[in-house]
Amino acid sequence: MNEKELLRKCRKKDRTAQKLLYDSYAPEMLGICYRYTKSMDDAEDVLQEGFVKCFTQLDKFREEGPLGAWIRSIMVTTAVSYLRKNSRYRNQMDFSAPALHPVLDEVATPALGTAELMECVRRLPAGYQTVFNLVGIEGYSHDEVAKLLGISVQTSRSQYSRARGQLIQWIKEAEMEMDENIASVKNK
Amino acid sequence: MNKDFDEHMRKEGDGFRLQPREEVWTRIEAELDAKKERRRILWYWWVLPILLAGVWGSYALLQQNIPSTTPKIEKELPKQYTTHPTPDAESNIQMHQTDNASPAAGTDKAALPNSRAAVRTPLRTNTSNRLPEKSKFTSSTQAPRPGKALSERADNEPNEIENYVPAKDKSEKPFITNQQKHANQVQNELAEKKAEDFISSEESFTNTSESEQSIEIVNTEREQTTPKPDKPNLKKDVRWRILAGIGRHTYTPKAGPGLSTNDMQSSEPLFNPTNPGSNSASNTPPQPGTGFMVGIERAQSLKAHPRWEWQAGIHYQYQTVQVSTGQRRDSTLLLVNMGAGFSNNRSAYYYLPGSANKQVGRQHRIHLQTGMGWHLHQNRKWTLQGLVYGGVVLSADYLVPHTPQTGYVPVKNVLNKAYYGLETGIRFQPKAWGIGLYGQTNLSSSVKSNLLSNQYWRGAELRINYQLSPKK
Repeated sequence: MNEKELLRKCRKKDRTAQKLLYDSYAPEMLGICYRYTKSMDDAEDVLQEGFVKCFTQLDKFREEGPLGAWIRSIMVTTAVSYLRKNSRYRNQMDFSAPALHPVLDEVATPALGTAELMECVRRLPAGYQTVFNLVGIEGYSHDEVAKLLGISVQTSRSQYSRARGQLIQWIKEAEMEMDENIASVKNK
Repeated sequence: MNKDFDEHMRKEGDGFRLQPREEVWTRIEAELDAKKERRRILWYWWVLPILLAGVWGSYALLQQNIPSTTPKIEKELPKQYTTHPTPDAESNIQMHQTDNASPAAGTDKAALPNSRAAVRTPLRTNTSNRLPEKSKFTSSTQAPRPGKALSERADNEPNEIENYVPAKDKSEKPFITNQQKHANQVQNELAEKKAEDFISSEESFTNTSESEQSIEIVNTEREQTTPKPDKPNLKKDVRWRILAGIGRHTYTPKAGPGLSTNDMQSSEPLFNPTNPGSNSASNTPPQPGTGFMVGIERAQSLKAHPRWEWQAGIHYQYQTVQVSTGQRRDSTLLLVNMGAGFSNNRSAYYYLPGSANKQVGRQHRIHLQTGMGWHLHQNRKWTLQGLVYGGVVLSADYLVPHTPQTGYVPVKNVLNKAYYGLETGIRFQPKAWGIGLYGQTNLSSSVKSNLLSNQYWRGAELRINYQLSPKK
């Protein structure tokens, strides 16, 4: 079944087609949701809410771009709304907090695996995590992030810079630890 | 070099996959089924007002047997023409008709009277003085009084119907046919209804003093023997009323789809049945609010259709000025009103996505509403009423900066909402003043897909009113 046929059946509320669509995109979308949240339970809640929105709003999809990109945008906005609603995250979405650490000038191409990198991203405070996800991974501009989160462009830039710097530091520390472990194994 | 890190993170993030548990799909399925069921139930909300409209329409149609205009009924027949035409008179009628149909040759037409009324018209063509077809009087009280037969009139005698001046002798009871009795009854009912409730967009009231006055006028008229009904006194029909009220309302926002990147949560504590909703977020607790209302209303019966009444009012409620107008027929009100609202910084506030900071905002709103109401009279002082209504709200929101650093945040979205609801109330109106208690429940749903969700709104309001005019 091609994507058009799948879309047509999903719009007719065909449960089998909807399941197929879900199976196709759920792993990628759960990865997105997991990056924005602090636990798998929260990530699955966002995933559930996002897919319900997708299925109920499928008529609004104009087929001008890929379906995956449309579903992804819904997931991102759902995740951001979830963070705003949820009291556990709301307190951390404070962009007026002082800087986490001095900004590092050095950059590195991390040697860590995908999962480790994502865990580093998730370690960030919720506000920094959100900005980094939106700018660094989703590719939103600072203007778009500012409008989405209700902050200024300046704040978005500074938050992203600080988050990025923190990530680099953690990645470096993790790589150093890895190197030490490797060295100690070799010495034995 | 910065770009390498960013590219790498983006690539890693895009490729990050996780497998959800099977129960996630089960929960999605359950939620989709629940939404389907809710949509089905919501559909019934549209059916209910249509059904009510159908019931009202049927009732109105059934009432069409009663003439809508005040019948022109002679209060008292002229004494001379209560006589059943004698056979001689009938033949004379025919003779006169023949005469008038073809004037004798050589007659100077100019000498003939110009007015049709001067031509001797048979009594039976004058419906206002219609006599029974046959003489079936069974009692002496119904027996016609003898009067002049047409044959007794001289040719040049002025037509007495044309020149009839009613007698004012109250000692003589006028002869009344069954048809006239019925017409009088109808006229009395209409006169009573004339002084009845003035239903505004919000409530109805009864001016007891006005209705009593109207009945008194009708009674006085009945005693007179004028052949023509009095012209409606339009000045007397105009009624002015002032109102004030206090209400308590709550609304519960519901979760719903929101795809806009400018998704906002707004919390507005004050609500109004005619100005129902703003955007709202999902899963927030019920928002209560208290509001005050003041207003002034005017009502006037329509000259051509006394059973119809035109009403208009201006109300200020929940920072909204509403102008309304409508028409009422008997106990049913058909209403269209329009309002423009403006909320100040104190009453509108927002949470933007990703921010826990409350943003104060302004809200401009225009709404159009139509409704159908009815009231059931229990007695002259108490009224029980109901109203179903629906409308659309157009609202434009914008934010005032919370702090100088955040800057001005314009809102691009214009909220469009359709809504419908039900209002019931009970009112006590002993004199010119009255007091009423009303309850409203409202369900509104967003019209545009990228805007916010359904919300349930309900409230209660206590109102007092005082009729300014007409004065006693």
